[in-house]
Amino acid sequence: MMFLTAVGALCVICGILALLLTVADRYLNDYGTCAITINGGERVLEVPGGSTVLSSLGLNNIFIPSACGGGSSCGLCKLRIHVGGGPVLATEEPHLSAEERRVNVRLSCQVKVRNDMRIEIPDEYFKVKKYRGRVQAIQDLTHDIKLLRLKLLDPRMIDFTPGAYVQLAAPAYGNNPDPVYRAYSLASSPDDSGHIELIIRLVPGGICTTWVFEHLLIGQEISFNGPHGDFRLQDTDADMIFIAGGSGMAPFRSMLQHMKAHGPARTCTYFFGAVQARDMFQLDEMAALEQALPDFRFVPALSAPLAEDDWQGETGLITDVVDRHFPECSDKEAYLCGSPGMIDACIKVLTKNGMPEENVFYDKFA
Amino acid sequence: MKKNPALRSTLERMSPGNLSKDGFLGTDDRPVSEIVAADVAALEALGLDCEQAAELLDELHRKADQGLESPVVCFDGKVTVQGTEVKGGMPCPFGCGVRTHKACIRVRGEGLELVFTPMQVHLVRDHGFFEGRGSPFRMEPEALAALFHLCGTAR
Repeated sequence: MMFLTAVGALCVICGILALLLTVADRYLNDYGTCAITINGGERVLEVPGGSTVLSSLGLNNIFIPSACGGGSSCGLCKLRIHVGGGPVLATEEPHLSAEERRVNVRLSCQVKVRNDMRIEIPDEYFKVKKYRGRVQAIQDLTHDIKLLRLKLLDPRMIDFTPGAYVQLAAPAYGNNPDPVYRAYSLASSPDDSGHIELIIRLVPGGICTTWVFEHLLIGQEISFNGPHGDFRLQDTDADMIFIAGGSGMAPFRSMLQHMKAHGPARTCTYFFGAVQARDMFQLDEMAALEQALPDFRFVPALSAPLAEDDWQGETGLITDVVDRHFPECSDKEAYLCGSPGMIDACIKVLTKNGMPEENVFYDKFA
Repeated sequence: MKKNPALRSTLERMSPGNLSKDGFLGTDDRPVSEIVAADVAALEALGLDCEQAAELLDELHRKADQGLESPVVCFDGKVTVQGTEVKGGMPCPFGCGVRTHKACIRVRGEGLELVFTPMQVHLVRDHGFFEGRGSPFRMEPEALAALFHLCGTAR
């Protein structure tokens, strides 16, 4: 009997404590409505306090780049908080340099809205939207690269400059409890505004690419946000050199399709590097673009062709192939997409052959 | 024992589906500190330390980079390396702020095959962490030592 009385008393005490916590949470953590002033008043949002800056902006259709969805692991969601951000948190510290702290850069997924704030974000973020799309096609390009085509559902159209990328959301699946976001360059023309195409390479152990390769089905709905990035053709009439292999083809495919539809018809040579014939793809499409664009030349090159590849085209590292074709390129522009190592190697060859480094534009994978 | 917030965050980042599909701990239920201590001790018993191991992996990565995804034969023909890379970055699961690019470097040589990423080089060098047992990207100290001696012999 005494035991039951003690248990009962304990339950009552716990209940009272829970009630006190609920009341305290409601009143102490109630920050009311807070104003977030963006870019000196360009936009002012009225948001309920208590959520992170990242989610508050997202609920108002302002999407800050993030790969981890707010877990403070990717460090991508940086923006400037000039007023109202409070002290830098321990979870932010590893991601912020001394210089970034000096100019009020913060991780928006960690800073909570507790009072009025004044923040600064790049103008391009206002153009980023969240999209829902339906998978229309999944095409095998090589043993480890697929082309994904999505029909846009909401919004029904997208506007972007060729060279941009989107962040595709891989939903929770298998042992992966939360959605993650991964960046992929848009591979389709902006003229096909009701669809997007992405070129996706399988990453061993990758969350998103494993989902695309092993789980994604035609007809399935997926979401993404974008467009992001500032990799684009410069507004000049200089002859162009494109260099990319594998999934790096994506932005150039978009650019070339756009050029075909709109011009200007600039002289362009695209060097596409691969190891063996099985790594090559879109050769027919590039040949068709050569027909449609008289000043476009596609130069595929294999660095280690097998005998059975029966390869008759260029061989060697792509940097050597570029060196052979353009021993002098001081009056040209170069556009590169690939790994930091590949970009650096290309810059070395191009500058050796006279190209000013400021005429080299790139989308480094990292 | 109650975990401190920093350790909780680290374990969360190391879990499957956070930074990678399979995470960093595999089926290992030992504390991270114990995993580190055991592997560092195992490596040192084989005559190698974490800095030496990381330097070798860095060198192999640089050589793989030169190949622009083609295989590169190095260390007097004893080792072949080949790297691939995709868009994106990998932040350190320890939350130290380091972020590496997403590359995968395959090393083959005399009955030995190893796959590693730039993040693993950082984890070995700066955290003494080789990943948990059962993790698909775990680097066994014995395999690293064998690779080091293979490359070291060739030097």
